[in-house]
Amino acid sequence: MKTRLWLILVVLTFPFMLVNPCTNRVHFSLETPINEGIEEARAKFQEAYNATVEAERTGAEVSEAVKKLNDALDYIFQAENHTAHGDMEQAFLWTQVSMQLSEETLVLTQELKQQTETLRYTRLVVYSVIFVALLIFVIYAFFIGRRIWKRHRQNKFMEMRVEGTLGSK
Amino acid sequence: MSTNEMKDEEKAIAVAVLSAIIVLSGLLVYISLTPARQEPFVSLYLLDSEKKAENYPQLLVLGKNNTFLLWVGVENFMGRIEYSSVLVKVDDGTGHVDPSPIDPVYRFEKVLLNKETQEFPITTTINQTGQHRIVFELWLFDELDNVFSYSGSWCSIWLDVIES
Repeated sequence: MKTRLWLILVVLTFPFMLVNPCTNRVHFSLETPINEGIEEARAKFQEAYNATVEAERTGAEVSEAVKKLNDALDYIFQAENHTAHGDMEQAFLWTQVSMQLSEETLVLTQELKQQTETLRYTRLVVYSVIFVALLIFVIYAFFIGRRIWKRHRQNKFMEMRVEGTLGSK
Repeated sequence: MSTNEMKDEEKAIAVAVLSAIIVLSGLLVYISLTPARQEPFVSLYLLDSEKKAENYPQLLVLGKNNTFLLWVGVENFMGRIEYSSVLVKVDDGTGHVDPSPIDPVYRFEKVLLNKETQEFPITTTINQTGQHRIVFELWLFDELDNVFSYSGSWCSIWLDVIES
């Protein structure tokens, strides 16, 4: 008797458990089922995003990488939509494309970082060379100028002496 | 003091004053040309179907205009790229906001360049009568913790839905 009562209770309670507590709310079509492939694609995307942030921090121009990242994100959303509609094969394909794009972004950010570092190094070397050359030029000009000035003063002095001698005569 | 020495001293003073003027004017030019550092921020805004801040839906009639289009815009002025997520949440207006604790019914994600603005279209259908509030929240990805954190930017729209 007791068991039968329990069974009736469970049978009565079970349908209530299936009812969504938000049934009086607005309904939207989206549900985001997560599967392993999508999680993997998201992890790869985050890795690529972090690499892009790092590349930008070093001073690289990352607009191309951001474009790729946004494409990768769109593909993840496509995969999520296909998963929601039960089309796992298509979802798998979209996650693969997304991961491929994230991988490309990772390679691209590495290249961008290297380019930026090379550019910075080249700039440093060029500026240093220009600075040293200017310094040498200024020092050289100073000594040459001083020599010219001395000669000029000597010439002037000699001219004065000559004028003085002539004047005394 | 001889006249020559006087002349030399005057020359030295003139050179010092001239150098000081040149250095000071250089500094002034530098300060006036350097733009002031901007406070980093992100913002979220809502537009109607014609991308204007005018004709927002307010009263919806079931079966007539209960499907509507809104545009949500996100601006990034954080001085760096940002991975942003806009969460769309719907409640009856009694719940807490900033941020709302309820689960999102929809979300958009985009990586934004610095000083970039993105606008997302949202087509929504409401099938239940009564008062509804649609809340839009902006979350930003924190690459250190690998999680989205709430940016503090949100906006909402109130809707009354009646039967035809």
